[in-house]
Amino acid sequence: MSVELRNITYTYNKDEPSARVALENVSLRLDDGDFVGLIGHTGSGKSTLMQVLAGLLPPCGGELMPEGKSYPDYKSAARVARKSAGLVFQYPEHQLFEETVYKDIAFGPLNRGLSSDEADARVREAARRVGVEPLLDKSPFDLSGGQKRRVAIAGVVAMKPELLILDEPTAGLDPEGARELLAMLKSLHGDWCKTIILASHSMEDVAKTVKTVAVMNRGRLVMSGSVAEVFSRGEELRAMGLDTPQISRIAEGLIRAGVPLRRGIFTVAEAADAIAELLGGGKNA
Amino acid sequence: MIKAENLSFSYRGDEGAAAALKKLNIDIAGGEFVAILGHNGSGKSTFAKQLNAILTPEEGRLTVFGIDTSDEGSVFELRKNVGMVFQNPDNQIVATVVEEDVAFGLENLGVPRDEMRRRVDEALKTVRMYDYRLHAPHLLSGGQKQRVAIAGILAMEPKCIVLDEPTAMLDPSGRAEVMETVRRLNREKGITIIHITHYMDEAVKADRCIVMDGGEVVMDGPPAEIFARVEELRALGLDVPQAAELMYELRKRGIDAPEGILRSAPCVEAIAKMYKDRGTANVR
Repeated sequence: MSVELRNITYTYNKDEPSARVALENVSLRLDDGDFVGLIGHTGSGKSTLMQVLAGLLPPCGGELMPEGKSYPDYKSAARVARKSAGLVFQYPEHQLFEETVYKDIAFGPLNRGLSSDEADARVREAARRVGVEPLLDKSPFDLSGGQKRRVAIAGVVAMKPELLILDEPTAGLDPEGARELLAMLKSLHGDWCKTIILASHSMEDVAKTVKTVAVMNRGRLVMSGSVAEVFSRGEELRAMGLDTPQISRIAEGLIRAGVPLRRGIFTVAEAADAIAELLGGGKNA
Repeated sequence: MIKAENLSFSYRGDEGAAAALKKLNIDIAGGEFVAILGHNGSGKSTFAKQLNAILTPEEGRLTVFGIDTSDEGSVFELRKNVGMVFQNPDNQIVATVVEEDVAFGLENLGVPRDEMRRRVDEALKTVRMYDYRLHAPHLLSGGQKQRVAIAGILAMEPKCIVLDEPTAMLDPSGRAEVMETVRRLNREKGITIIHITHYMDEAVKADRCIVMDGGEVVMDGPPAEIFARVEELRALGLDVPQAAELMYELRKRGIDAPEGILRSAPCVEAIAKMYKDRGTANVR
Protein backbone atom coordinates (compact mmCIF):
# COMPACT_ATOMS: atom_id res chain seq x y z
CA MET A 1 0.00 0.00 0.00
CA SER A 2 1.21 3.45 -0.67
CA VAL A 3 0.79 5.91 2.16
CA GLU A 4 1.60 9.54 2.52
CA LEU A 5 2.21 11.68 5.56
CA ARG A 6 1.80 15.38 5.03
CA ASN A 7 3.19 17.94 7.50
CA ILE A 8 2.69 15.67 10.49
CA THR A 9 3.25 17.15 13.94
CA TYR A 10 2.99 15.28 17.20
CA THR A 11 3.54 16.51 20.75
CA TYR A 12 3.50 14.25 23.80
CA ASN A 13 1.70 15.68 26.85
CA LYS A 14 0.40 18.54 24.73
CA ASP A 15 -0.72 21.61 26.73
CA GLU A 16 1.14 20.40 29.81
CA PRO A 17 4.41 21.68 31.28
CA SER A 18 6.04 18.36 30.34
CA ALA A 19 5.06 18.77 26.66
CA ARG A 20 7.65 17.30 24.31
CA VAL A 21 7.59 17.67 20.54
CA ALA A 22 8.20 14.28 18.92
CA LEU A 23 7.40 15.06 15.28
CA GLU A 24 7.68 18.39 13.59
CA ASN A 25 6.28 18.92 10.13
CA VAL A 26 7.18 15.49 8.80
CA SER A 27 6.21 14.66 5.22
CA LEU A 28 6.95 11.22 3.85
CA ARG A 29 5.66 9.09 1.01
CA LEU A 30 5.88 5.31 0.79
CA ASP A 31 5.04 3.68 -2.54
CA ASP A 32 4.26 0.09 -3.42
CA GLY A 33 7.51 -1.83 -3.61
CA ASP A 34 9.43 0.48 -1.28
CA PHE A 35 11.76 -1.05 1.30
CA VAL A 36 12.78 1.74 3.63
CA GLY A 37 15.24 1.85 6.52
CA LEU A 38 14.44 4.50 9.12
CA ILE A 39 17.41 5.65 11.16
CA GLY A 40 17.75 8.31 13.84
CA HIS A 41 19.09 8.78 17.37
CA THR A 42 17.05 7.59 20.37
CA GLY A 43 14.18 10.01 20.84
CA SER A 44 14.39 11.31 17.25
CA GLY A 45 10.76 10.37 16.62
CA LYS A 46 11.11 7.07 14.74
CA SER A 47 8.68 5.10 16.89
CA THR A 48 6.15 7.93 16.95
CA LEU A 49 6.34 8.22 13.18
CA MET A 50 5.72 4.49 12.80
CA GLN A 51 2.64 4.61 15.00
CA VAL A 52 1.25 7.52 13.00
CA LEU A 53 1.89 5.59 9.77
CA ALA A 54 -0.02 2.61 11.10
CA GLY A 55 -3.00 4.79 12.04
CA LEU A 56 -2.53 4.10 15.75
CA LEU A 57 -1.61 7.59 16.90
CA PRO A 58 -3.71 10.56 15.79
CA PRO A 59 -1.28 13.35 14.84
CA CYS A 60 -1.67 16.79 16.43
CA GLY A 61 -1.34 18.40 13.01
CA GLY A 62 -0.98 17.35 9.38
CA GLU A 63 -2.65 14.60 7.45
CA LEU A 64 -2.39 10.81 7.26
CA MET A 65 -3.16 9.78 3.69
CA PRO A 66 -3.41 6.02 3.10
CA GLU A 67 -3.21 5.18 -0.60
CA GLY A 68 -2.15 8.77 -1.12
CA LYS A 69 -5.74 9.96 -0.78
CA SER A 70 -7.43 12.54 1.42
CA TYR A 71 -10.24 11.39 3.71
CA PRO A 72 -13.08 13.45 5.20
CA ASP A 73 -11.76 12.94 8.72
CA TYR A 74 -8.89 11.30 10.61
CA LYS A 75 -11.11 8.44 11.75
CA SER A 76 -11.81 7.18 8.26
CA ALA A 77 -8.17 7.65 7.20
CA ALA A 78 -7.00 5.73 10.26
CA ARG A 79 -9.45 2.91 9.52
CA VAL A 80 -7.93 2.42 6.04
CA ALA A 81 -4.39 2.69 7.39
CA ARG A 82 -4.98 0.16 10.17
CA LYS A 83 -6.51 -2.33 7.78
CA SER A 84 -3.58 -2.42 5.42
CA ALA A 85 -0.68 -1.80 7.78
CA GLY A 86 0.86 -4.21 10.27
CA LEU A 87 3.06 -2.77 13.01
CA VAL A 88 5.65 -4.87 14.82
CA PHE A 89 6.53 -2.99 18.00
CA GLN A 90 9.91 -3.02 19.72
CA TYR A 91 10.42 -6.29 21.60
CA PRO A 92 7.18 -7.76 20.18
CA GLU A 93 7.78 -11.03 22.03
CA HIS A 94 6.55 -9.32 25.20
CA GLN A 95 3.09 -9.42 23.64
CA LEU A 96 2.87 -13.20 23.22
CA PHE A 97 0.06 -14.51 25.38
CA GLU A 98 -1.56 -17.64 23.97
CA GLU A 99 -1.05 -21.24 25.04
CA THR A 100 0.45 -22.33 21.75
CA VAL A 101 2.35 -20.65 18.96
CA TYR A 102 -0.46 -21.62 16.59
CA LYS A 103 -3.12 -19.87 18.66
CA ASP A 104 -0.97 -16.81 19.08
CA ILE A 105 -0.45 -16.41 15.35
CA ALA A 106 -4.15 -17.17 14.68
CA PHE A 107 -5.37 -14.47 17.06
CA GLY A 108 -5.17 -11.62 14.56
CA PRO A 109 -6.73 -13.36 11.54
CA LEU A 110 -9.61 -14.76 13.66
CA ASN A 111 -10.13 -11.38 15.27
CA ARG A 112 -10.45 -9.90 11.83
CA GLY A 113 -13.31 -12.29 11.10
CA LEU A 114 -11.61 -14.88 8.91
CA SER A 115 -13.18 -18.37 8.99
CA SER A 116 -11.18 -20.98 10.85
CA ASP A 117 -10.14 -22.60 7.54
CA GLU A 118 -8.94 -19.30 6.12
CA ALA A 119 -7.19 -18.46 9.37
CA ASP A 120 -5.56 -21.90 9.42
CA ALA A 121 -4.15 -21.33 5.93
CA ARG A 122 -2.86 -17.91 6.95
CA VAL A 123 -1.24 -19.23 10.12
CA ARG A 124 0.55 -22.01 8.28
CA GLU A 125 1.70 -19.76 5.46
CA ALA A 126 2.91 -17.04 7.86
CA ALA A 127 4.68 -19.62 10.03
CA ARG A 128 6.37 -21.13 6.97
CA ARG A 129 7.55 -17.78 5.67
CA VAL A 130 8.85 -16.65 9.04
CA GLY A 131 10.45 -20.03 9.71
CA VAL A 132 8.52 -21.09 12.82
CA GLU A 133 6.45 -23.91 11.29
CA PRO A 134 8.01 -26.63 13.47
CA LEU A 135 7.09 -24.65 16.59
CA LEU A 136 3.33 -24.35 16.04
CA ASP A 137 2.31 -26.76 18.81
CA LYS A 138 4.75 -25.42 21.39
CA SER A 139 4.06 -22.92 24.12
CA PRO A 140 5.50 -19.54 23.10
CA PHE A 141 7.06 -19.34 26.56
CA ASP A 142 9.28 -22.39 25.98
CA LEU A 143 11.04 -20.79 23.01
CA SER A 144 14.36 -18.98 22.74
CA GLY A 145 14.42 -15.19 22.43
CA GLY A 146 15.01 -15.29 18.68
CA GLN A 147 12.21 -17.81 18.16
CA LYS A 148 9.78 -15.74 20.23
CA ARG A 149 10.64 -12.69 18.15
CA ARG A 150 9.82 -14.61 14.97
CA VAL A 151 6.54 -15.94 16.36
CA ALA A 152 5.48 -12.42 17.30
CA ILE A 153 6.35 -11.19 13.81
CA ALA A 154 4.45 -14.14 12.30
CA GLY A 155 1.37 -12.94 14.20
CA VAL A 156 1.54 -9.65 12.31
CA VAL A 157 2.58 -11.25 9.01
CA ALA A 158 -0.47 -13.55 9.20
CA MET A 159 -2.67 -10.48 8.78
CA LYS A 160 -1.04 -10.18 5.36
CA PRO A 161 -0.41 -6.45 5.73
CA GLU A 162 0.37 -4.61 2.53
CA LEU A 163 2.54 -2.29 4.55
CA LEU A 164 4.74 -3.96 7.15
CA ILE A 165 6.21 -1.61 9.74
CA LEU A 166 8.89 -2.89 12.12
CA ASP A 167 10.37 -0.95 15.02
CA GLU A 168 13.93 -2.20 15.62
CA PRO A 169 13.18 -5.80 14.73
CA THR A 170 16.75 -7.01 15.33
CA ALA A 171 17.40 -5.30 18.71
CA GLY A 172 18.81 -7.83 21.16
CA LEU A 173 19.17 -10.64 18.62
CA ASP A 174 22.56 -12.26 18.11
CA PRO A 175 24.31 -11.67 14.77
CA GLU A 176 23.00 -14.84 13.17
CA GLY A 177 19.48 -14.24 14.48
CA ALA A 178 19.61 -10.72 13.03
CA ARG A 179 20.95 -11.98 9.69
CA GLU A 180 18.20 -14.59 9.41
CA LEU A 181 15.51 -12.11 10.35
CA LEU A 182 16.64 -9.58 7.76
CA ALA A 183 16.85 -12.29 5.08
CA MET A 184 13.32 -13.33 6.02
CA LEU A 185 12.06 -9.75 5.65
CA LYS A 186 13.71 -9.50 2.24
CA SER A 187 11.89 -12.66 1.15
CA LEU A 188 8.55 -11.30 2.41
CA HIS A 189 9.01 -8.08 0.51
CA GLY A 190 7.26 -8.03 -2.82
CA ASP A 191 4.74 -10.84 -2.89
CA TRP A 192 3.55 -11.02 0.73
CA CYS A 193 4.05 -7.45 1.91
CA LYS A 194 4.27 -4.87 -0.85
CA THR A 195 5.94 -2.23 1.24
CA ILE A 196 8.23 -2.55 4.26
CA ILE A 197 9.65 0.12 6.54
CA LEU A 198 11.95 -0.79 9.41
CA ALA A 199 13.68 1.27 12.08
CA SER A 200 17.17 0.22 13.11
CA HIS A 201 20.22 1.42 15.00
CA SER A 202 22.50 -0.86 13.01
CA MET A 203 23.83 0.99 9.99
CA GLU A 204 25.41 -2.25 8.73
CA ASP A 205 22.01 -4.01 8.77
CA VAL A 206 20.31 -1.11 7.06
CA ALA A 207 22.99 -0.86 4.35
CA LYS A 208 22.67 -4.49 3.36
CA THR A 209 18.88 -4.86 3.60
CA VAL A 210 16.85 -1.88 2.42
CA LYS A 211 16.58 0.04 -0.84
CA THR A 212 16.14 3.54 0.54
CA VAL A 213 16.95 5.24 3.83
CA ALA A 214 15.08 7.96 5.71
CA VAL A 215 16.82 9.84 8.51
CA MET A 216 15.09 11.40 11.52
CA ASN A 217 16.77 14.01 13.71
CA ARG A 218 15.04 15.76 16.62
CA GLY A 219 11.56 15.10 15.31
CA ARG A 220 12.29 16.13 11.75
CA LEU A 221 12.83 14.08 8.63
CA VAL A 222 16.19 15.44 7.51
CA MET A 223 17.36 13.13 4.72
CA SER A 224 15.95 10.49 2.47
CA GLY A 225 17.35 8.74 -0.54
CA SER A 226 19.10 5.61 -1.72
CA VAL A 227 21.45 3.78 0.61
CA ALA A 228 24.38 5.21 -1.36
CA GLU A 229 23.09 8.78 -1.22
CA VAL A 230 22.45 8.77 2.52
CA PHE A 231 25.57 6.92 3.64
CA SER A 232 27.79 9.12 1.52
CA ARG A 233 26.92 11.95 3.94
CA GLY A 234 28.94 10.48 6.80
CA GLU A 235 29.89 13.75 8.47
CA GLU A 236 26.29 14.95 8.71
CA LEU A 237 25.13 11.57 10.03
CA ARG A 238 27.82 11.54 12.72
CA ALA A 239 26.81 15.05 13.79
CA MET A 240 23.33 13.62 14.42
CA GLY A 241 24.65 10.85 16.67
CA LEU A 242 24.40 8.32 13.85
CA ASP A 243 27.07 6.63 11.85
CA THR A 244 27.84 4.94 8.59
CA PRO A 245 28.75 1.25 8.31
CA GLN A 246 32.39 0.62 9.26
CA ILE A 247 33.10 -0.54 5.70
CA SER A 248 32.09 2.82 4.24
CA ARG A 249 34.27 4.63 6.79
CA ILE A 250 37.15 2.45 5.59
CA ALA A 251 36.30 3.21 1.96
CA GLU A 252 36.17 6.96 2.73
CA GLY A 253 39.54 6.70 4.50
CA LEU A 254 41.10 4.93 1.52
CA ILE A 255 39.88 7.58 -0.89
CA ARG A 256 41.35 10.25 1.38
CA ALA A 257 44.63 8.33 1.51
CA GLY A 258 44.83 8.51 -2.26
CA VAL A 259 43.62 5.04 -3.19
CA PRO A 260 41.44 5.55 -6.31
CA LEU A 261 38.46 3.56 -4.98
CA ARG A 262 35.06 4.30 -6.46
CA ARG A 263 32.50 5.99 -4.22
CA GLY A 264 29.31 4.34 -2.99
CA ILE A 265 30.68 1.16 -1.43
CA PHE A 266 28.56 -0.10 1.46
CA THR A 267 29.16 -3.82 1.73
CA VAL A 268 32.31 -5.78 2.51
CA ALA A 269 32.02 -7.93 -0.63
CA GLU A 270 31.88 -4.87 -2.89
CA ALA A 271 34.85 -3.34 -1.11
CA ALA A 272 36.90 -6.53 -1.31
CA ASP A 273 36.22 -6.90 -5.06
CA ALA A 274 37.11 -3.29 -5.79
CA ILE A 275 40.28 -3.31 -3.67
CA ALA A 276 41.42 -6.69 -5.03
CA GLU A 277 41.10 -5.31 -8.54
CA LEU A 278 43.13 -2.21 -7.66
CA LEU A 279 45.82 -4.36 -6.09
CA GLY A 280 45.96 -6.64 -9.09
CA GLY A 281 44.71 -9.77 -7.33
CA GLY A 282 42.22 -11.98 -9.14
CA LYS A 283 38.62 -12.31 -7.96
CA ASN A 284 38.15 -15.30 -5.68
CA ALA A 285 41.64 -16.45 -6.53
CA MET B 1 39.87 -12.93 41.07
CA ILE B 2 37.03 -14.77 39.36
CA LYS B 3 37.51 -18.50 39.18
CA ALA B 4 34.99 -20.97 37.82
CA GLU B 5 35.91 -24.61 38.34
CA ASN B 6 33.83 -27.22 36.52
CA LEU B 7 30.84 -24.97 36.96
CA SER B 8 27.62 -26.59 35.73
CA PHE B 9 24.11 -25.23 35.79
CA SER B 10 20.80 -26.17 34.18
CA TYR B 11 17.36 -24.61 34.01
CA ARG B 12 14.53 -26.92 35.02
CA GLY B 13 11.27 -26.74 33.13
CA ASP B 14 8.32 -28.98 32.33
CA GLU B 15 10.33 -30.81 29.71
CA GLY B 16 13.20 -31.68 32.03
CA ALA B 17 16.49 -29.95 32.64
CA ALA B 18 18.32 -28.00 29.95
CA ALA B 19 22.02 -27.60 30.65
CA ALA B 20 23.02 -23.95 30.33
CA LEU B 21 26.58 -24.22 31.62
CA LYS B 22 28.67 -27.36 31.22
CA LYS B 23 31.75 -27.83 33.39
CA LEU B 24 32.87 -24.30 32.77
CA ASN B 25 36.43 -23.32 33.67
CA ILE B 26 37.16 -19.62 33.52
CA ASP B 27 39.87 -17.61 35.25
CA ILE B 28 39.66 -13.83 35.22
CA ALA B 29 42.25 -11.65 36.93
CA GLY B 30 41.44 -8.44 38.83
CA GLY B 31 41.44 -5.38 36.54
CA GLU B 32 40.83 -7.30 33.32
CA PHE B 33 38.39 -6.05 30.67
CA VAL B 34 36.75 -9.16 29.28
CA ALA B 35 34.14 -9.34 26.53
CA ILE B 36 31.93 -12.42 26.45
CA LEU B 37 30.50 -13.36 23.07
CA GLY B 38 28.14 -16.08 21.94
CA HIS B 39 24.82 -16.54 20.19
CA ASN B 40 21.57 -16.34 22.15
CA GLY B 41 21.32 -19.35 24.41
CA SER B 42 25.07 -19.98 24.54
CA GLY B 43 25.16 -19.46 28.31
CA LYS B 44 26.60 -15.93 28.51
CA SER B 45 23.86 -14.42 30.65
CA THR B 46 23.59 -17.51 32.80
CA PHE B 47 27.29 -17.15 33.56
CA ALA B 48 26.84 -13.43 34.28
CA LYS B 49 24.07 -14.18 36.76
CA GLN B 50 26.35 -16.61 38.58
CA LEU B 51 28.84 -13.83 39.25
CA ASN B 52 26.71 -12.14 41.89
CA ALA B 53 24.78 -15.20 42.95
CA ILE B 54 21.47 -14.45 41.24
CA LEU B 55 22.04 -18.06 40.20
CA THR B 56 24.38 -20.47 41.95
CA PRO B 57 26.31 -23.49 40.62
CA GLU B 58 24.61 -26.85 40.52
CA GLU B 59 27.97 -28.56 40.35
CA GLY B 60 31.47 -27.25 40.60
CA ARG B 61 32.52 -24.02 42.24
CA LEU B 62 32.63 -20.32 41.52
CA THR B 63 34.72 -18.00 43.64
CA VAL B 64 34.59 -14.25 43.12
CA PHE B 65 37.12 -12.15 45.03
CA GLY B 66 37.63 -15.09 47.34
CA ILE B 67 33.93 -15.52 48.08
CA ASP B 68 32.30 -18.83 47.22
CA THR B 69 29.03 -17.80 45.52
CA SER B 70 27.25 -20.86 46.96
CA ASP B 71 27.84 -19.55 50.49
CA GLU B 72 24.51 -17.92 51.29
CA GLY B 73 25.94 -16.03 54.23
CA SER B 74 28.27 -14.06 51.95
CA VAL B 75 25.78 -13.01 49.29
CA PHE B 76 25.53 -9.50 50.70
CA GLU B 77 29.31 -9.03 50.69
CA LEU B 78 29.51 -10.52 47.18
CA ARG B 79 26.90 -8.16 45.74
CA LYS B 80 28.68 -5.15 47.19
CA ASN B 81 31.69 -6.16 45.11
CA VAL B 82 29.97 -7.19 41.89
CA GLY B 83 27.54 -4.77 40.27
CA MET B 84 25.27 -5.66 37.35
CA VAL B 85 24.02 -3.46 34.51
CA PHE B 86 21.30 -4.88 32.29
CA GLN B 87 20.02 -4.30 28.78
CA ASN B 88 17.03 -2.08 29.35
CA PRO B 89 17.84 1.15 31.22
CA ASP B 90 14.16 1.77 31.94
CA ASN B 91 13.92 -1.38 34.04
CA GLN B 92 16.81 -0.33 36.27
CA ILE B 93 15.84 3.19 37.20
CA VAL B 94 13.74 3.45 40.34
CA ALA B 95 13.74 7.11 41.41
CA THR B 96 12.31 10.29 39.89
CA VAL B 97 15.49 12.34 40.27
CA VAL B 98 18.85 11.22 38.87
CA GLU B 99 20.86 11.67 42.08
CA GLU B 100 18.23 9.88 44.15
CA ASP B 101 18.44 6.97 41.76
CA VAL B 102 22.18 6.81 42.16
CA ALA B 103 21.80 6.99 45.97
CA PHE B 104 19.26 4.16 46.11
CA GLY B 105 21.76 1.37 46.67
CA LEU B 106 23.64 3.36 49.31
CA GLU B 107 20.45 4.11 51.22
CA ASN B 108 19.77 0.40 51.34
CA LEU B 109 23.26 -0.20 52.69
CA GLY B 110 22.74 2.44 55.37
CA VAL B 111 25.69 4.56 54.28
CA PRO B 112 25.92 7.80 56.38
CA ARG B 113 24.60 10.94 54.68
CA ASP B 114 27.90 12.78 54.14
CA GLU B 115 29.55 9.70 52.75
CA MET B 116 26.53 9.10 50.52
CA ARG B 117 26.67 12.66 49.16
CA ARG B 118 30.35 12.26 48.37
CA ARG B 119 29.94 8.91 46.64
CA VAL B 120 26.90 9.97 44.59
CA ASP B 121 28.64 13.13 43.36
CA GLU B 122 31.78 11.27 42.52
CA ALA B 123 29.91 8.51 40.67
CA LEU B 124 27.92 11.05 38.64
CA LYS B 125 31.09 12.96 37.78
CA THR B 126 32.81 9.77 36.71
CA VAL B 127 30.07 8.91 34.19
CA ARG B 128 29.85 12.61 33.23
CA MET B 129 26.22 13.00 34.33
CA TYR B 130 26.84 15.37 37.28
CA ASP B 131 25.20 18.27 35.46
CA TYR B 132 22.05 16.18 35.17
CA ARG B 133 21.90 15.23 38.86
CA LEU B 134 18.58 17.02 39.43
CA HIS B 135 16.96 15.92 36.16
CA ALA B 136 14.14 13.40 35.79
CA PRO B 137 15.64 10.13 34.52
CA HIS B 138 12.79 9.34 32.12
CA LEU B 139 13.59 12.43 30.06
CA LEU B 140 17.19 11.39 29.43
CA SER B 141 18.44 9.65 26.30
CA GLY B 142 19.12 5.91 26.38
CA GLY B 143 22.87 6.40 26.65
CA GLN B 144 22.43 8.88 29.50
CA LYS B 145 20.08 6.53 31.35
CA GLN B 146 22.56 3.68 31.04
CA ARG B 147 25.28 5.97 32.41
CA VAL B 148 23.02 6.80 35.37
CA ALA B 149 22.50 3.07 35.92
CA ILE B 150 26.28 2.62 35.85
CA ALA B 151 26.69 5.49 38.35
CA GLY B 152 24.24 3.74 40.68
CA ILE B 153 26.49 0.69 40.60
CA LEU B 154 29.66 2.77 40.85
CA ALA B 155 28.45 4.48 44.04
CA MET B 156 28.55 1.08 45.72
CA GLU B 157 32.30 1.05 44.92
CA PRO B 158 32.37 -2.44 43.42
CA LYS B 159 35.54 -4.22 42.35
CA CYS B 160 33.80 -5.67 39.32
CA ILE B 161 30.98 -4.58 37.02
CA VAL B 162 29.11 -7.07 34.87
CA LEU B 163 27.31 -5.54 31.91
CA ASP B 164 24.79 -7.77 30.13
CA GLU B 165 24.23 -6.28 26.68
CA PRO B 166 24.11 -2.72 28.04
CA THR B 167 24.06 -1.17 24.57
CA ALA B 168 21.49 -3.38 22.83
CA MET B 169 18.81 -0.70 23.00
CA LEU B 170 20.99 2.33 22.29
CA ASP B 171 21.72 4.36 19.18
CA PRO B 172 25.31 4.63 17.88
CA SER B 173 26.22 7.69 19.98
CA GLY B 174 24.62 6.19 23.10
CA ARG B 175 26.66 3.04 22.53
CA ALA B 176 29.83 5.08 22.15
CA GLU B 177 29.09 6.98 25.42
CA VAL B 178 28.60 3.78 27.38
CA MET B 179 31.67 2.08 25.91
CA GLU B 180 33.84 5.09 26.60
CA THR B 181 32.61 5.19 30.21
CA VAL B 182 33.21 1.49 30.78
CA ARG B 183 36.67 1.64 29.25
CA ARG B 184 37.58 4.58 31.51
CA LEU B 185 36.34 2.82 34.67
CA ASN B 186 38.58 -0.07 33.75
CA ARG B 187 41.65 2.02 32.93
CA GLU B 188 41.44 4.69 35.61
CA LYS B 189 39.78 2.91 38.52
CA GLY B 190 41.03 -0.59 37.83
CA ILE B 191 37.52 -2.01 37.98
CA THR B 192 37.23 -5.49 36.48
CA ILE B 193 34.79 -5.38 33.56
CA ILE B 194 32.81 -8.32 32.23
CA HIS B 195 31.04 -7.07 29.13
CA ILE B 196 28.50 -9.29 27.38
CA THR B 197 27.69 -8.12 23.89
CA HIS B 198 26.56 -9.00 20.38
CA TYR B 199 28.44 -6.06 18.91
CA MET B 200 31.79 -7.21 17.63
CA ASP B 201 33.12 -3.65 17.46
CA GLU B 202 32.62 -3.40 21.24
CA ALA B 203 34.40 -6.69 21.86
CA VAL B 204 37.37 -5.28 19.94
CA LYS B 205 37.83 -2.73 22.75
CA ALA B 206 38.30 -5.42 25.41
CA ASP B 207 41.65 -6.89 26.49
CA ARG B 208 40.33 -10.39 26.15
CA CYS B 209 37.41 -12.13 24.44
CA ILE B 210 35.75 -15.28 25.65
CA VAL B 211 33.47 -16.99 23.14
CA MET B 212 30.80 -19.33 24.51
CA ASP B 213 28.78 -21.98 22.74
CA GLY B 214 26.45 -24.55 24.23
CA GLY B 215 27.41 -23.58 27.77
CA GLU B 216 31.13 -24.08 27.17
CA VAL B 217 34.09 -21.82 26.42
CA VAL B 218 35.13 -22.42 22.82
CA MET B 219 37.60 -19.58 22.29
CA ASP B 220 39.55 -17.41 24.70
CA GLY B 221 42.19 -14.87 23.77
CA PRO B 222 42.95 -11.29 22.74
CA PRO B 223 40.51 -9.78 20.18
CA ALA B 224 43.08 -9.74 17.37
CA GLU B 225 43.53 -13.48 17.72
CA ILE B 226 39.83 -14.29 18.06
CA PHE B 227 38.65 -12.20 15.12
CA ALA B 228 41.19 -13.74 12.74
CA ARG B 229 39.14 -16.96 13.02
CA VAL B 230 36.39 -15.75 10.71
CA GLU B 231 35.06 -19.13 9.56
CA GLU B 232 34.84 -20.51 13.09
CA LEU B 233 33.07 -17.44 14.41
CA ARG B 234 30.54 -17.57 11.58
CA ALA B 235 29.90 -21.25 12.30
CA LEU B 236 29.13 -20.19 15.89
CA GLY B 237 26.52 -17.72 14.63
CA LEU B 238 28.74 -14.72 15.31
CA ASP B 239 30.17 -11.97 13.20
CA VAL B 240 33.49 -10.20 12.83
CA PRO B 241 34.07 -6.43 12.62
CA GLN B 242 33.83 -5.29 9.01
CA ALA B 243 37.53 -4.28 9.00
CA ALA B 244 38.53 -7.86 9.90
CA GLU B 245 36.02 -9.26 7.41
CA LEU B 246 37.47 -7.09 4.64
CA MET B 247 41.02 -8.29 5.34
CA TYR B 248 39.76 -11.87 5.35
CA GLU B 249 37.89 -11.38 2.05
CA LEU B 250 41.04 -9.87 0.52
CA ARG B 251 43.09 -12.87 1.63
CA LYS B 252 40.45 -15.09 0.02
CA ARG B 253 41.01 -13.14 -3.18
CA GLY B 254 44.70 -13.97 -3.12
CA ILE B 255 45.92 -10.76 -1.55
CA ASP B 256 48.47 -10.98 1.22
CA ALA B 257 46.47 -8.83 3.65
CA PRO B 258 47.73 -8.86 7.25
CA GLU B 259 45.82 -10.62 10.05
CA GLY B 260 44.83 -9.09 13.35
CA ILE B 261 43.38 -5.85 11.97
CA LEU B 262 40.10 -4.97 13.64
CA ARG B 263 39.62 -1.22 13.38
CA SER B 264 39.11 1.23 10.53
CA ALA B 265 42.31 3.29 10.81
CA PRO B 266 44.84 0.43 10.71
CA CYS B 267 42.78 -1.20 7.98
CA VAL B 268 42.98 1.93 5.81
CA GLU B 269 46.71 2.19 6.55
CA ALA B 270 47.41 -1.42 5.59
CA ILE B 271 45.47 -1.24 2.32
CA ALA B 272 46.95 2.15 1.38
CA LYS B 273 50.42 0.67 1.95
CA MET B 274 49.62 -2.38 -0.17
CA TYR B 275 48.36 -0.06 -2.88
CA LYS B 276 51.59 1.94 -2.79
CA ASP B 277 53.71 -1.21 -2.97
CA ARG B 278 51.45 -2.91 -5.51
CA GLY B 279 52.95 -5.15 -8.12
CA THR B 280 55.76 -6.11 -5.79
CA ALA B 281 55.06 -8.22 -2.77
CA ASN B 282 51.35 -8.22 -2.15
CA VAL B 283 50.18 -10.84 -4.61
CA ARG B 284 50.82 -14.37 -3.51
